[in-house]
Amino acid sequence: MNAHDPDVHSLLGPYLLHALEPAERAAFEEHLTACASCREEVAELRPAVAALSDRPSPPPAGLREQIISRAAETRSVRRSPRRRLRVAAVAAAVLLAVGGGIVATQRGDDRMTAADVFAAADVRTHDMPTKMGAVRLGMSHELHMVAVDGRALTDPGAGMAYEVWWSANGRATSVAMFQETESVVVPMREGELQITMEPMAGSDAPTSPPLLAMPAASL
Amino acid sequence: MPRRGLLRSVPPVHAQPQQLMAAIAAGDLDAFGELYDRFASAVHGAALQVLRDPARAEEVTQEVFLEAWRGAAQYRSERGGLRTWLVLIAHRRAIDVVRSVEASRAREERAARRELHEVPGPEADLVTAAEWADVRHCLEGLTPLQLESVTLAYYDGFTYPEIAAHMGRPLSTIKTRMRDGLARLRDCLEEA
Ligand SMILES: [Zn+2]
Repeated sequence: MNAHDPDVHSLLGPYLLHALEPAERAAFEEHLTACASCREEVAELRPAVAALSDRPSPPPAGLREQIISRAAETRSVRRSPRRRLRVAAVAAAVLLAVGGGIVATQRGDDRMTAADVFAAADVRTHDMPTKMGAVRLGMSHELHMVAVDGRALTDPGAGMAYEVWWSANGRATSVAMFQETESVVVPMREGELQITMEPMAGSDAPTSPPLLAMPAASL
Repeated sequence: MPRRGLLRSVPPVHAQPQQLMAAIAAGDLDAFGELYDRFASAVHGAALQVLRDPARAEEVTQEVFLEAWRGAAQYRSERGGLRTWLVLIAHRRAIDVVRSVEASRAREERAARRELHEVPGPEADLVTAAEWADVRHCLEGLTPLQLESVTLAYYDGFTYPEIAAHMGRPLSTIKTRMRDGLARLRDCLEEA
């Protein structure tokens, strides 16, 4: 069934109950963008669906701290040129919360955008095909930074994002995360620059094969 | 907001969902903590009800909040507000987990062990017992076919074609019963 099938309205019940396979779910979501009457009905019925889940149960006490510190770690992911100044304001707090190292580096990066790197006099750009679309990399020796422009990539799917790693001696270190509408800047390092698809919260190590692997020497 | 620290002991700081989500979208960790404090039990409960596995429910709770943290800018206020939004994200993720880890056979056995009118979930806690009694009462007002279609999907993670096959009914019947079952549930809850 596709989004234009006259019968597609009838998927509304299963859609609300999360009882569709991914393909039909996508078709119905596309239909929703075009069908005001289904949109209205979905909005009206949603609270009743959520009521079926209304059995509050407090999570274990340690979870709050774990989630908040995880959020603090992934803060840099959400950086966009528009938001940079506001994010910089919380950077100091994050620095205290997480401490040292990589966050300090990323905080410095807050002042630089991918556009700055691509505009550098000595920039070298590379358009790299991946199975999710093209990635444009820009490297400036002078700035000692690599820009990763992911805006030609496709949506990695619900709950997923792209993660950038520097991999050396068999160990990958996460340096940034971004979504398909974003570009990020990461510091230049030794080893191999890699991009993988990961859950939005980020992974401790790559959990999928790299979409792209580029030795620093080739940048 | 100046002198935030002084206000910290006066929750909730952000009365409006839009305000809270805008602060989170701007990277405000205090606002994020507030979101957690207000909705963690609802999110965790929704996950636990489907998963019945504390470790997995905890994982889903974490994913839901981190998704809210990352996706705060995409939040649009809707009927039912933040609680509905978060609970339904939790439910959908829990269903995805159930589908990926539990073979359909195991889910059928699990569904078969449950009495038709028994709705799974953590033991009722006193605070919400009254509200939950409304939900239960309204579920009991559904026709058997509506009830079975809704609960097999929502609590056991079956897709509507699986339910149609299981019950030996046409696909169109199951789709329709889900939709009119939910409409009846909505009407009943509004009266309650
Ligand atoms: Zn429609």
